[in-house]
Amino acid sequence: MKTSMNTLRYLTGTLLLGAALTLGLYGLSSLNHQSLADDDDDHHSDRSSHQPALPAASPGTRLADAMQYQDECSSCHLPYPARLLPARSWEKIMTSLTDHFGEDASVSDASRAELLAYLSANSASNHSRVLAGLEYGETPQRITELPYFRRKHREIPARMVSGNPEVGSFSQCDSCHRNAAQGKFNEHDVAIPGFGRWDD
Amino acid sequence: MKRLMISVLAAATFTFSLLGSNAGYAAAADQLQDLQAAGAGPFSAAAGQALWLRDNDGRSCAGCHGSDPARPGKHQKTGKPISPMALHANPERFSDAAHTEKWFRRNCRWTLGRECSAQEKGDVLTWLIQP
Repeated sequence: MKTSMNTLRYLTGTLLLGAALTLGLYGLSSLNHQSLADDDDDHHSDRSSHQPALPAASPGTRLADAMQYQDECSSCHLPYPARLLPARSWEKIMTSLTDHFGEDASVSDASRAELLAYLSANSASNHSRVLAGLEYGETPQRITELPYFRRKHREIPARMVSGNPEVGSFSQCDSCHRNAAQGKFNEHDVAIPGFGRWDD
Repeated sequence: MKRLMISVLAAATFTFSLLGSNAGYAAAADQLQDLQAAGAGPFSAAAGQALWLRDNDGRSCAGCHGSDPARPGKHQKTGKPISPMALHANPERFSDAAHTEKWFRRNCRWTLGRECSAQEKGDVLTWLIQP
């Protein structure tokens, strides 16, 4: 009697465990079916491509792209923020690196494509205030040529910049904008070498 | 047993630190070999120094890097500091051959108006890696 009870217990346990596992597997597979069903719905619309659950980063938007820009371009100068020029300007700059403001700043073709992707992806959009007053046909190669830049700096006399051996030119953002390397150009962080803080 | 472990660890640490500080030297030695394979050599540190100091219509290596490569330089135009070029003063130099080649290409073009020959590169490199 006792032996048959044990056999019964054993069989019941096996059955229950099997049922639980089957139910679990069924649950997992129906999850898959659900996402497939979503894809099927998409076929009814115009979109024919499958949308991945997590889209891959678009070109030039990964942290590694920003780091590459920093690494490659800040060897010689402050890594000027991409948002301060329109994409067409970056394209012009990146296709003339053998004569980069009088210097050879050439990089490999692969690096050039990657850097341009980063710069374009982060460039000034058409409605950015940075581009105010700029004609669409104009392709400035210097941030300092932008009407926006000139307006922002019109109160700074030349003796504090070009006439100041510690600064030299408006291109040396970080001479006065102490947090320029972090992309911060807040007026309250400005200190002009030899003249002190600038607040108006 | 414990003592043996400690000595093994110490030896390993020592070896790795030695390898680390010599990474630049090893890479530069490899590069010199490649330049030699390209038909250049023997290389001379004195010739490298002479090229470094030579004035080319107001442009020279020393113009930005300074005449003493063990000291930091300064970019003539942007004013950006340049860390020392001499390996003994800056152990991170020359550890990446592609990086070294890239800067030879750019800076020779700017300074001399042409790329440097394998002989010139070998001479300068020999001068910069000497202890």
